[in-house]
Amino acid sequence: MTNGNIFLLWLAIPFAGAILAAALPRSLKSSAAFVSLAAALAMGVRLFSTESFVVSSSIASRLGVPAVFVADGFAFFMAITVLAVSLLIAVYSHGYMARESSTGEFYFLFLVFVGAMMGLVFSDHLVALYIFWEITAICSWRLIGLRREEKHLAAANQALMITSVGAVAMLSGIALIYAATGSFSLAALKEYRVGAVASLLIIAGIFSKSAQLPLHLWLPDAGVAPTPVTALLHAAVLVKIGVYAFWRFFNASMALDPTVAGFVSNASVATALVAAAAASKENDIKRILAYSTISQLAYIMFAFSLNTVTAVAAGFTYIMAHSFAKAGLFLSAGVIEHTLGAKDLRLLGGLKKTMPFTDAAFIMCALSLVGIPPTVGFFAKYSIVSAALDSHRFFSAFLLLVAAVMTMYYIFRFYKKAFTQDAGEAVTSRREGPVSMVFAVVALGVISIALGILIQFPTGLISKIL
Amino acid sequence: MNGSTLFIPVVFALTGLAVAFMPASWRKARAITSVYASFLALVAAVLFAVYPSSFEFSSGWFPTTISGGFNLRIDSFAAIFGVLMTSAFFVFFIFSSAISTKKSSALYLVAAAAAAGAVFSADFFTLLVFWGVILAALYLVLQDTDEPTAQRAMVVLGVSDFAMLLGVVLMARLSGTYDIAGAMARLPEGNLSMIALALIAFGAIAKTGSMPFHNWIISATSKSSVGTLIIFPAIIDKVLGIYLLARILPAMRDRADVFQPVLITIGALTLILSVLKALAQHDLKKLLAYHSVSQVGYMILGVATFHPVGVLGGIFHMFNNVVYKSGLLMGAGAVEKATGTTEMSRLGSLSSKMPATFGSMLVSSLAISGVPPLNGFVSKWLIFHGLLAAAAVAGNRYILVALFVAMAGSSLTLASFLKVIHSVFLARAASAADDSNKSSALAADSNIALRAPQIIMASASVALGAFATIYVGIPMLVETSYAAILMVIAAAIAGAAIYQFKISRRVRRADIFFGGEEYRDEYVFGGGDFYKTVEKLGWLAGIYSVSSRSREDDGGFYALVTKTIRAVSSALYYSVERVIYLLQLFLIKAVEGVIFVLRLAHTGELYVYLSWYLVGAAALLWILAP
Repeated sequence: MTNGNIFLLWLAIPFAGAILAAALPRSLKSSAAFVSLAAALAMGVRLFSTESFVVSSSIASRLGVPAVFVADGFAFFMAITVLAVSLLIAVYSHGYMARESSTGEFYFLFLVFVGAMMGLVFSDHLVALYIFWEITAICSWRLIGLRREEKHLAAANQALMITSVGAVAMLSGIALIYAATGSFSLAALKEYRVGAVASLLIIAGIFSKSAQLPLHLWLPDAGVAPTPVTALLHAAVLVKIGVYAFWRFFNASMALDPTVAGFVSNASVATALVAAAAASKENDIKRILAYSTISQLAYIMFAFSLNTVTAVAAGFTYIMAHSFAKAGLFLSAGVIEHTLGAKDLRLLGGLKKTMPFTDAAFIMCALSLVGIPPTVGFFAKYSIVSAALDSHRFFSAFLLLVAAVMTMYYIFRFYKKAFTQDAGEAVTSRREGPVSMVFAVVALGVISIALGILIQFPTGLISKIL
Repeated sequence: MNGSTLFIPVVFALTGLAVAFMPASWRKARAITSVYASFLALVAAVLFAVYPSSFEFSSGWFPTTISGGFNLRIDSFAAIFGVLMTSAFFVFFIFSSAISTKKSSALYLVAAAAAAGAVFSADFFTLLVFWGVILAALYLVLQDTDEPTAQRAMVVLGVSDFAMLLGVVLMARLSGTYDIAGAMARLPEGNLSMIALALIAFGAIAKTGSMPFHNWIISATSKSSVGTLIIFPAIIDKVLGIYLLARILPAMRDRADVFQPVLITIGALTLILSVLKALAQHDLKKLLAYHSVSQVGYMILGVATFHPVGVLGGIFHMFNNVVYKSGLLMGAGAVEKATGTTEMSRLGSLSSKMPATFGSMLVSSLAISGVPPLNGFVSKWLIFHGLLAAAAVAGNRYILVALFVAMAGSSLTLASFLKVIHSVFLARAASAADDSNKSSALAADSNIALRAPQIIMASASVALGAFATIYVGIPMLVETSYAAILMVIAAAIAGAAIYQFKISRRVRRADIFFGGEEYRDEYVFGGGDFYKTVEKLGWLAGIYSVSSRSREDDGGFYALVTKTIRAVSSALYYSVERVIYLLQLFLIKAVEGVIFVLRLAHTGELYVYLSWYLVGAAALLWILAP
């Protein structure tokens, strides 16, 4: 049994890092972020290995609630994935943000964001979960508009509007549940059959956060933000909140109406296809990746909506695979944007020669995104298709594979246009990106392959938790 | 449980890793390690084949939660394929040591490891993983020099791999096991089983590179190394595709009424269309590439007979094809190394400069054309027997057409190789300046790493053909094969006699006359345009007009897939995604409109508020009035 206070201290590390980053001089801000995330990751792994799964804290009992936080295995799995990706994003930011003026605000919001995400992951109390949910929304609002340009602010406002409308819907759903049961605790609500209205309201909030159709338009527009921000929002953290919350609400705790679950499965298959189609039509490198994120998240949503043991395991494997691969792709796009100042595919080309490391990392992540062995993406995709057939959804499995073929099409179209075809007019520099950025990108690529070759560790972990 | 099953894949994989970490300038070290590794693999494969029991190995490397784990099994069938494949690898790595770069050597070794793993896989999931690793390696090799082709290969093989994935998942659900043999035995009746089987067969056929999945092989010839052309399309893809077809054969035979016509049609069309295309090619590598597609037709026809002799012929033909096709491609590689081109109109009179290449390419050409007593004849003979036997079954008369096509294909193959032998080796070169590179041609021909593999492959063609009875062991072959041995002996005696009596020395040498005129350069008749007239035949024009279209749009599977994706993407994008966008825009405008109206009521001027007060009072009176 781990002491609850130690657990709470762990959750506080990113917040402490945020204050530190705000207080320290400019040159030390990135190290504050790096050190606090590394410390949080190390401690998270240490706590995870002690296998204490329920923590009730003194603060929580003073609030008159049995437990605000519940530390179970999946929450740890999620938190550690988030911390690992965030740590690499922090390394990358050191190079990327060097020229920006607002580093202080960036690192502060970045760390508060990660802290809120960790709080959310472990929340058992619905109101606490909602509060963390909104903290991440506010952080992402400021982060998207970090450069204070007109277009950026519009995108930031759009993101805030859509996710807030979703959050209000979710809050009303939570209120309905409270009115029916008198409880805010997810643990106490276990096996409670949610009404259709309440569940649809909550799902609206989840869809807005995870950018599922038709509440997805804020995500491609948010690509104007600095790349570490988009990587953070799109790949690692923000959009995963939605699918994670879906799992928390409807897999781990309450029971979802089968009709509603069927609706979610079908909606996510449609999202996977439509977003992949949009990704093949776009020419802006970050918009392509944003649509790709929407499409990939639909796979995870699909897996969770099936609500079987294998499907949940598949969903978490997919979360891990996608976090690393997509972060790597976003950060590669960021290297291109940072070095050349262009994000239009029609202006790029020939980067294979000038940026060999980014090229290699991009390919590794792309193979994982598409699902070609031996990358971790293959195993994730396979287990989702397998879980779909376990639930007798042959047609959905087929359509998801069609979406996978489309993924292959748009990501290699991206690769061809940016890396191998003749150099476009924007390719003015013949340099590789800064060391810290390239290191982070290559690390994410190598992790995507290594997790695939050593697949029994993550899946073993997941099945142990199950 | 037997860890030694892992030996061959592990040896290749470790060597691949070692090569990847060697400095690029360590050419010799790279050559020695890869040849040594493939030698070890060959020895191991022979030991597995000789030892009369099957080896199994299982571990939890792949998660048992989503699949049946990681399982290898070397039964006698897999062991034979292992020997065939590793011996081809051994010869190939000798050859590739002379031409390959560091990155491609490492990837060839990784692909070899994955191919061995795929052949030794006991369950479908393990097979699928190795299958995909081969695709990844192929993509990485190709995209180094030729990204568009790499993308083609990726799309064509990726689609078929995803289809196979779905087939494997479905088959595992239906039969309750991932084990290949077990799933075949327990596959229930019904349409779903049919779909599962068809999806897996789709993956296997796409891997062999039969039509319409062949275009990437053809376009790979223009920029990629010969090594890539040998190890992927000629060795690994054929071995694995036919291996998998043979593995799922029992289940397909139970559903022969569907699978047999489809397979026969694919086989016959592939065979005849690509051999016709091959006739018209004037680039040596491209011509050989069309032949490797065309030979797949024979293999598929053989397997599709579902008759023991035919299936044996198909598998045997696959291996024969590995032997002579690698030999021919190696010859093309040597020619390219010597002259810097494989364009046949610019080649010529290489027979004197590259005698070893000439000799072995001649033997291999005869073998691929099915001339007795070489190996190509034996396997085609078996396939023809199989087709006859299959056509004898009621309702299968149409197979006789396939038999006719197969025989015609053979003669067309011979015709196109006459062109190769003539224009590359015998005809005078078009340019008179070619004597300058005589030394480089001799050097390429005498380079042991380029020369020995070709000679090995050519002698293997002779030996496999002449001694077919011994290892095929089918009575009907006995007479033919004694005849074959007699023919080989006769040929050897004749050769010895010619050498002994120096008949060649007595040939009178004189200047060449062309129609009574003295020889001049412009009279040179290159072989490149031998069959120009065939292209102009009206009823064949359809086949050839496709090749003259743009590179993007060649009517193959790749064009189909990418066009479909583009159409579907546009449809979904404009009918769903953009509509949602417009709706959201409309919503925003509507909210802005409401805000605008409300703002009109909120100007800060006194009379506006007074009028609101009056309106409100009036409304209250209206409501409260009795």
